Amino acid sequence: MPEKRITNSIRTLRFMAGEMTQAELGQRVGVTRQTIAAIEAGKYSPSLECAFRIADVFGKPLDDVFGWEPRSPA
Amino acid sequence: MLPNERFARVWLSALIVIFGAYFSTLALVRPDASSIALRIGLLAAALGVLGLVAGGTWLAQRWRRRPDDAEDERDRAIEHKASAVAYRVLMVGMILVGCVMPFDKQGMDIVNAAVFAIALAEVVRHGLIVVGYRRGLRA
Repeated sequence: MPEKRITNSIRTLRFMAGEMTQAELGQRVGVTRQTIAAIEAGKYSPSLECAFRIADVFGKPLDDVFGWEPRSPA
Repeated sequence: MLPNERFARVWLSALIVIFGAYFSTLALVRPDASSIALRIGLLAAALGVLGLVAGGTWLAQRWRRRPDDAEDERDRAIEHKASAVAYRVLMVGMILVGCVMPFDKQGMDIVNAAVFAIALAEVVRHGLIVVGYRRGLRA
């Protein structure tokens, strides 16, 4: 099975939402700023509920925010 | 730095220093079987210092906690993963201490092996928490 990873476009969506801060997004989703930073950096894969909450903040469907793509070769 | 990560770093350092000193002292002094008071005294001193560190970090955490320091799902996921690995380390240690060592060891040797297994499991747990915050956690 090919190795895949979860990608996200949260940084772009925050920018398009008037440069929303990580802290503000975290507050609206119910997690800390550090967790939003870790999700953006691909260091933490959020729970399904958290992913839906993030998508809901931006008013986008889940697959506009998160992707499932093959790992790029190192 | 999140409070959980800070707490894990303090505990990791304290465990390494305190139990490093304890087991180094035992190895250097090599108290014989008759010096049970010395052995118990050393263990009590190590556990006493650890108790002071525990009390100090608990107070510091209460003192410095901010409203946005509440735990979230990432904190719980890191804690869960670290605890699961540490539990296995502890189980292996306890099997060795309880089922293997009694055949050829006794007394303080078994006590110290149990203390070592507990300390190792705690070092693994706090070490994995620190790594989880620094390098990330993936399913």
